[in-house]
Amino acid sequence: MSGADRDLAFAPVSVVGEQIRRREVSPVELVQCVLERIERFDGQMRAYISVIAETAVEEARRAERELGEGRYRGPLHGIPIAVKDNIIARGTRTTCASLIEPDWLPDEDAAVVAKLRTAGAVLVGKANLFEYAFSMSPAFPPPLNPWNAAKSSSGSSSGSAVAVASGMAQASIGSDTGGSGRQPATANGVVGLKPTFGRIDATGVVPLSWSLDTVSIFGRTSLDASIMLDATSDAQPGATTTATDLASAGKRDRPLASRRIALAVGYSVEGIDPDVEAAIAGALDVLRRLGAIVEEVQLPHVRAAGLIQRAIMLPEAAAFHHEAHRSSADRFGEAAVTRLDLGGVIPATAYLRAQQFREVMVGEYRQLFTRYDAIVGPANPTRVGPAGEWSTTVGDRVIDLRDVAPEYTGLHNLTGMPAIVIPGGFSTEGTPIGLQIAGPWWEEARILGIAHAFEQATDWHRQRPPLPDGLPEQVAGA
Amino acid sequence: MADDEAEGPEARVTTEDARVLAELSGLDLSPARLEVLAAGLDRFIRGMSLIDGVDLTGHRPPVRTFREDDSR
Repeated sequence: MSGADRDLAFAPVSVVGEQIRRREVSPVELVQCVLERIERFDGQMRAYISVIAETAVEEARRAERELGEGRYRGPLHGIPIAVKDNIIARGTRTTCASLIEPDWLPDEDAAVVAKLRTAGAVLVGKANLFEYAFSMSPAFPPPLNPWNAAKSSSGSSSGSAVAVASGMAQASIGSDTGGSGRQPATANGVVGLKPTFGRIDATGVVPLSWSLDTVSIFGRTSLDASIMLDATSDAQPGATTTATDLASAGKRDRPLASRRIALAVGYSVEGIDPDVEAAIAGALDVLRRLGAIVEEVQLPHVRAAGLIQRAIMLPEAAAFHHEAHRSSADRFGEAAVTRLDLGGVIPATAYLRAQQFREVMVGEYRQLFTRYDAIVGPANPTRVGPAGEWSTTVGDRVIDLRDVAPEYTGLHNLTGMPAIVIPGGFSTEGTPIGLQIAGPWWEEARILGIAHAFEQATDWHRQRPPLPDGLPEQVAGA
Repeated sequence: MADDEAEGPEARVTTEDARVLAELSGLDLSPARLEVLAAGLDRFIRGMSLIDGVDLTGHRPPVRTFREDDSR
């Protein structure tokens, strides 16, 4: 693969979309370039469960015809996109990375897929994930982390993140119930946006937890995430942001002047990984240089997040999977069965008290946002752990992602507030470290603006991983 | 919350409790699954004490009213 083809495959949507508009790049050329990479590398990378090459080329040709006729649909016109395989697309197999219903061919599109099609995006495939976005799949091995194949690609939307990180899709869609979008964005070094709960219609997303599930976005930059949000979100007055707004904001000398930013502290596990600490300290320096006032703030109720998330997510998941859990438990992965068993017997009063507690949390964070514009911090207290494992060892501490993720990322699902993860540095092992920025409900424009300003002052998001292009020739395409 | 937060000297949920609850949910679990379930439920119930002191009065869970603007 030539350097020019690699550059095209890794070009941000904001750049290549503009080239398509100007007819300097053809949608067919771009989609074929991405499909060629998938064909060559995905046997090893495992970002996709299904690839729909023929349909994608047909859609790219249609986009090209429309452009030729002067019918430009916007910045996603002709852009290759991946969608997590728990989100339905008409006529495309949806497995949820499970053996429960492996050959399901939905006859309609999820709301988010329909919006992407209207925007002219080209669906190239369905991305790998945890089984039902819940736990390690018994059917599909996880994707490789393109920064280090020995390290975890995290989950549950790992395929969506790896597709973007590997130049095998320009952007992608996932789902985020407790960090399932932002954790893999962190691990694989891409931007991951979890919008406000309800901002993107979740119709057609196979549920994990109705009251927590949020359609999420992956891209290479905050501009790209903004473009994807504009195309997929349901209208909310004053909540729309555009690439143009972000670009002009980023050009100011001190774009974050007078922004008051809370540095999140108070987690059960924090300050234990020197690589994460160094990356976040560096990120705070950048934010201060850009004009922000950063103050340490104890996050309200953060240590209850794990408990509250379990009390809500597990019963909701058990209710959704009730029939399959009773009749076909042997076809679920072991970890899913253990969690469904527990979800099936959690008392109704515990579930309802947890839902009440969420309202307490929302009230506390509303108060916090009267004093601060945003909350920043790491998306995870540790560097990426070994492939296929939940745990990371730092010094003599063994940290299980399932224990820390509810506090670091699940908190935003419980409160419904938007949060974005952007590349914020690298560990000494060469794996990415994510900076998370959360803001008030419906204020995606604000957190995207802070993220964009940070990106203009750093080059973490411009780094390319060694894989898949560095895969040995004899195994590439195997 | 780490799992060890809920550890205590004595289990409150027995495998028999777990069996009865599982049966009520229509689940016929093996002894091994019952043992895991009892331990998990025990940890969960102990964990819930974390919010025992929080005043939840006036905080309702999401309830649909069928107003047009309340369809979530």
